[in-house]
Amino acid sequence: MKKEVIKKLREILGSPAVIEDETELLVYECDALTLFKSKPDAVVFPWTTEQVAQIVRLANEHRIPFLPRGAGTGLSGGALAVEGGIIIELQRMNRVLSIDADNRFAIVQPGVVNLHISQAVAPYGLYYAPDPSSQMACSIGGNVAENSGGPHCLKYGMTTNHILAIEAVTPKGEIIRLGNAAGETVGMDLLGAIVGSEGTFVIVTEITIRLLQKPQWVKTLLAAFHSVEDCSQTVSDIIAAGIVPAALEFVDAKTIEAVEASVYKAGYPQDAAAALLIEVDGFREGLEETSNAIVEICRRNRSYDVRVAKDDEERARLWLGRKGAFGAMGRISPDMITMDAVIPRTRLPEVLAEIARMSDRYGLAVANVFHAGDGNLHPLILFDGRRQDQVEKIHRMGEEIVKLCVDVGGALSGEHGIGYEKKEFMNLVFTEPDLEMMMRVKRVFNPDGLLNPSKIFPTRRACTEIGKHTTTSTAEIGKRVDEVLRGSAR
Amino acid sequence: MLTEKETKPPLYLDCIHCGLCLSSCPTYRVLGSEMDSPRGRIYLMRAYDEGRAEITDSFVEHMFRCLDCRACETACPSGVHFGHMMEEMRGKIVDERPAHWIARLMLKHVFPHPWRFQLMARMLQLYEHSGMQWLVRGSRLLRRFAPGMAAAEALMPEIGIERGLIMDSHYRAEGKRVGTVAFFSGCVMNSMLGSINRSSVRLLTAAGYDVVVPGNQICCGALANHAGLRDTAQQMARANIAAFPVDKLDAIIINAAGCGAMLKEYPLLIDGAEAFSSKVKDIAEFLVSTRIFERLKTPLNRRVGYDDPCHLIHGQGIKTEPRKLLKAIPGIEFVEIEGADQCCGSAGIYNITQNELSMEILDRKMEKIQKAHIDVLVTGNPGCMFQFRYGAKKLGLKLDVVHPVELLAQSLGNSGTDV
Repeated sequence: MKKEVIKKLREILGSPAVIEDETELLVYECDALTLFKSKPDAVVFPWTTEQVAQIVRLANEHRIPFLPRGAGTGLSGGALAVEGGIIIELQRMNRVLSIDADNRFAIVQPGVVNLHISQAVAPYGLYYAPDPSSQMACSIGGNVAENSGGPHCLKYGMTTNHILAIEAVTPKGEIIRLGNAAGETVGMDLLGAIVGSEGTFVIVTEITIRLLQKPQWVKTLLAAFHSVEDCSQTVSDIIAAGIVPAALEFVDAKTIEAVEASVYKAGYPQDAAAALLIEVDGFREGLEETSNAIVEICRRNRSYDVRVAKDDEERARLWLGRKGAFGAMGRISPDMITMDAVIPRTRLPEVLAEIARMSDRYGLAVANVFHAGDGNLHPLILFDGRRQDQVEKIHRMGEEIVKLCVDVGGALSGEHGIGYEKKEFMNLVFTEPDLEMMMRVKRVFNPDGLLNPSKIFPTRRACTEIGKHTTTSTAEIGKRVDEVLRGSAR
Repeated sequence: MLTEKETKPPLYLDCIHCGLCLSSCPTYRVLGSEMDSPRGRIYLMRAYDEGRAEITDSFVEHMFRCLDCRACETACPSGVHFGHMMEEMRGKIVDERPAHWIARLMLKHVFPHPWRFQLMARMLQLYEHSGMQWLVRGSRLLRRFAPGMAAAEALMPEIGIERGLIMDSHYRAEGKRVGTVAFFSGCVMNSMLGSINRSSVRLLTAAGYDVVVPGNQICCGALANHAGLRDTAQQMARANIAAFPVDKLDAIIINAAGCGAMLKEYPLLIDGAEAFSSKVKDIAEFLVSTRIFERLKTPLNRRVGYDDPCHLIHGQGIKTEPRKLLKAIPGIEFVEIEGADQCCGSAGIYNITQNELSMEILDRKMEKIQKAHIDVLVTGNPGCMFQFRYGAKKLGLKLDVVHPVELLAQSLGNSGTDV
């Protein structure tokens, strides 16, 4: 990048808040998805919305791609600087600005850690419901970008259900405000389009979030099974019985092995083929009955051990085990890739069986730990990134799993986003007009494609669509697509 | 002999890059930059090992900006041995780029020699009590001409004229003898905070143990090891192992968290240290399973908060034991401080080498301590104690900063052996 740009960035932010040193840039070449790497040309650390806008305007002036980044815990390469450029790191905008306990909302900056919000509002008996497994590290800005989920989204909904308003910087550098603290939609509901746009529409710089009152009573159960089929059947049966658990999580033997070897050792049954972590919450009345009904369903499906957490401490331990599960894979493998497909719950047994067969065929171990209640699978494929043969297999196996899930009527992603990782799979589920419509919406927000380029949309499709123009730049493709749509292309 | 690298896979492979460590890291919490996070540092270590990064100025900066507090180890689901990796990495850095001459002088030629250390401590004492300090601070000359040194000077602990333990001594158990332990007296503890060592021995004898203080022991070597001076640390480890009659002891007791973590990890530093290290116990870890509880009779009517030393909670996994002991003192009102498991920024000599960042971390810490409205702050590591005393003084707080054994020994009242 030109010295002139660096100089101007330093004028905006001060020298230490601009990074261009090669060693330092190295750590920004990927987020939590390490399979793909691309180094940015600079990383900047703004403190204010105005600074973000200034940076964006500067990038526009020099036609430099830019993208926001939070804690870098994303699993689809959303914060990957595919075309280099400037990473706008929002971790220093990490304050809870205000809490309105009576009206149950809080205004926070994007760099606030998800869990820290719940900690900050705990004295008021409130909490922030969406709880991705990485909640102790991931930032709320990233949650908004990816429309993150988490175990408790089964009952409480995804991030999008908890975002009331935002302040954001557009890709041209204007500052806009959408939504309101009352949660009413006035005019067009653009907020809904922005949450989950994976940092390709705007850069969110302030977020008004909904807070919920802590449930009066909570019961957490752990049911162990000797067979994966019985365990998956239980999931379907619980939902079929009309019960809406707060969370319904599946862990298999491989996951249990890793978790039990880690600091998040939770007391999961080590002789089980699979286990369910089930939580129900709400008013105390009726909860006992619901819990008994669940126990009954588990028993009917041959669960050999169902236990109820006896106190908050045990409950916390069971959850920490679940939430530390991805990371705990480091105990049994040097590298891992997390898949994120969603399937209809009723197809769980056959899909899991097929994934097990694939695992044998490719010679790559797979651990399954996922949000069973909404059919959001997370097959974790374990591999060694130093072995090129395994890396190649990963790509093929990943594609095969995605195809399998799509074939049974599923979706590409439950909560991690498409990002860079899954963009080529978009063709599998969307038709040309579907994709075109999405691209057009994107171009309304991000007309030059400078904000977070080369994400979400398949390159392959665009290349064949447009003809001989083989290029990897989304900005370029975007322009070409627009020409096609306008009928001006050759 | 095979090198470590040839025998086992590199430790960085344990890291799966999930990022759960990020918000546990004090430097990341302040700076928000990936290369100042555990995950980022491991990424750089790996890049160096794979030939993708070199030991540049910025590389060194980020490695030494780490407090080595190891909070990331407590957060890490993968069980990454971060502290050990960092020490090895610093060793490699120091091989290429020798440490600052003052650090080398102190860590290689003063700390390993007990009488030189004593001499230094006495000189500091003289400086503080002769009026010279008053002159230096009053004239503001240092601040004007050497601001870095002035910051270090301001952090200088107030060294009371406290008598430490006499080396090569033997203290008898009170009542029925349960066993024999050796006491690791430490360098800073015995020369600058001597009464803490004496309180420790009082408690051990009251709990029914004979206590021996081997005369040939020296500084544990932790500071040298953290600074990357692995040869020096290894020599010190060997000297200490030779100084203790391990076979004849039930335990080796240490009351400084940083030293305890080091002593327990000698096997990572040298071969043949297992027998010694397996006997090492922090004083709280040890006392909690003794009959000391029945001796805590004298009430202390104070509002007490406890701050976890990093190398106790993260380095040794000791969290409940000191709390249990403190809560057993009659009359004490025990308060949990928010973020008690987070580093205070002292980190050995970090508050001198990385003064600005250390002070930022301390400020955040002091804010939380003030919120707890306590009049006694208890923590089990000399560096942390000095840091908190400085923090309290800067804010003009009325706050006693003490070691757990001081309160426990007070609760013994007049009973027990006078040490």
